[in-house]
Amino acid sequence: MREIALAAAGETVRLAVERQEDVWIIRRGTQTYQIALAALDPGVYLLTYAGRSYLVRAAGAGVHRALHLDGRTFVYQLAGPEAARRGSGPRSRAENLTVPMPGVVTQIAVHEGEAVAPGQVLVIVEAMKMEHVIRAPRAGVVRTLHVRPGEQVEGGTVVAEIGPDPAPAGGAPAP
Amino acid sequence: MRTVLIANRGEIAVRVIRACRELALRTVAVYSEADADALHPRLADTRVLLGPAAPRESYLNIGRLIDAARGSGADAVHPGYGFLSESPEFAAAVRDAGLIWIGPPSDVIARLGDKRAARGLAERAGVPVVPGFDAPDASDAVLTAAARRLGLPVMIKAAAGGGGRGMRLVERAEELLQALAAAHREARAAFGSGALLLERYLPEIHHVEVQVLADEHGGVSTLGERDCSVQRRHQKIIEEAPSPCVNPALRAQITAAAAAVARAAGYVNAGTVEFLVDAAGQFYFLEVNTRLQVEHPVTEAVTGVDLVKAQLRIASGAPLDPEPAPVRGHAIECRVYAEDPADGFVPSPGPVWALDEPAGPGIRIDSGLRTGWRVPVAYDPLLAKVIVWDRTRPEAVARMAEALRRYVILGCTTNLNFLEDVVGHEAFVRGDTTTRFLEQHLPSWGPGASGLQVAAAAALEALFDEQPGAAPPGGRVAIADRAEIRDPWDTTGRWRMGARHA
Repeated sequence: MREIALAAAGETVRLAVERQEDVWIIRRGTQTYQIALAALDPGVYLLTYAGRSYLVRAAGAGVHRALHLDGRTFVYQLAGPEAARRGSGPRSRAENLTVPMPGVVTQIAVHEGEAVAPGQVLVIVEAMKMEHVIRAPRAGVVRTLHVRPGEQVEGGTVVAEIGPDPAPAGGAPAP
Repeated sequence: MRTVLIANRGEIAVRVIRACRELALRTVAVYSEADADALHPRLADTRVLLGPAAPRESYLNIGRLIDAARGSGADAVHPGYGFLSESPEFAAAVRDAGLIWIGPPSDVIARLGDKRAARGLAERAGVPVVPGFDAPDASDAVLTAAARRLGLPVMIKAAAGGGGRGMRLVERAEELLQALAAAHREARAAFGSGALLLERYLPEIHHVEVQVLADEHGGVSTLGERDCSVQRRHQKIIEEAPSPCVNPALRAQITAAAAAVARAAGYVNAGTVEFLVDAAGQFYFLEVNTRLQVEHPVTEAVTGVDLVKAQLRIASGAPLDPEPAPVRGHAIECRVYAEDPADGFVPSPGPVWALDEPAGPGIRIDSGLRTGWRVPVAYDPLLAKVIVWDRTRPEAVARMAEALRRYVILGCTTNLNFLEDVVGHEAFVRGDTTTRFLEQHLPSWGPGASGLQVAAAAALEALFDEQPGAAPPGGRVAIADRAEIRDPWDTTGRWRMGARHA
């Protein structure tokens, strides 16, 4: 028996997987699936479930995965215990502002040390001719800008860090 | 005409190369550094590197394109759609270099590409236009005042453009200035001109367009209409022919209006006259696209006319076929984009790990994809188009649903699941498609992984652990060395042109 955690659409799912002869038994909460899998070619599998067979295409890189089954594509990631913890834990990392997709920085609307209001435009990134606007999630001070105008950035790049307001009204936010 | 340079990339470059081969023409592909591994350079007889990824240094660079044509011995240039396809400067530069331009003359592109001039031309030809404001070089203050007069919501458009670029719907007065600034920037980046115009926004409308062909001898013919009503971010995603909202009387009116506009403009080659049709069946001229449209294959499917070959023949001076092509059956096109419909349609460039494209009776795929390629960041997210034909609309819808189910693209996130849900929606099946289809029927959408998919994913992972040889190529990673996983909380902000107009 092993546990496998998958993350998709911001949610982490834990499944228990057990092999009995040629059948994989997958438990997710109270649900159980009994699946037979045959590898036809690398990346191509014949899956049999409840008396029906499906051709499955699967591919991935790193922790990123995608599979195609029964006419639909499922995009997910392998999630370790640390990822699962982070996904359900406090939003401590919201202080680091990242771009969701690869693109080019077209505008930086603030400078380091500037106090910003919630919703204020910080950085504009363009990908595939569409603009993505990164805004301040709350009031604070721009601690660091990690990108320059014209710079090409990968998805997940931290573009700016926002520190707590110099005169916080309540407790200190998480680092 | 012996050698055609295709001044474009992606699926349309591939499609034009194939048409040229059928006419025994040599082909020259051009590509940027970002497209060195793309499909289109591989298929042409000759390929020329234009320069870096940035469009201004490659696909929008007139000087480099003309040099590429001269250096490769091309005697004609096909611009595709987008990029420089509607640039009068490019058309003129091609002519001045002694090459054949596969499109309308430069001055016709200029007149019709200027949306103000086009509106005036249509009005003079007796064709109704959408109420709007079109003062050239208007300041933000003037545009703001005009928007108030027209009444909100109002549509901001790039005067020089098309294809949704620089386009913004403004519903509240306080959004206007920011929307104008963003539209200016986008318009300038996409078309080299930040000039804008305003039009009254017509809700609940159908977007219907008429395909026109015109030869150099004054001949003009129309090839029926297309319905392009299912849109997101004012960009078309599904098109069909004929339009479910056009009856024979309206068809006669709009095709006559389209031909009148083409004649008034002195049009030559393939073009499209776009109309808005309201719930009462009243139609308004919108604009003329002086190029091949992305959705041209639905017209090809119902008429049997190969529009690219028609363009090539017209450009070499051939007259139009005197027999009008009858419309037969029903065709639908779905655009496959590298975008995430579950997250405001954010572009999602990325790798193509696995690819399986459907084929079969009545199914056509126009695609620029290949396995192992990486969809670049720099360009439009359109990856491929699925086009189906069948005798009736219900049969075509069923064929499309099955074709989409069989389309496998793994790696970059695509809108395939979303398209399946649109095509499977009862309102789409009924033909109830207005430009507000998505906000009315699919306002929020998630891919909705099935229990079996999730279970299969877990079983596959366990299988790969036991039998590493069974893992997909390049997809194997030990559970122990998982890399950093992107945390959804890291992502703040919203794509400005998101599906929600709030």
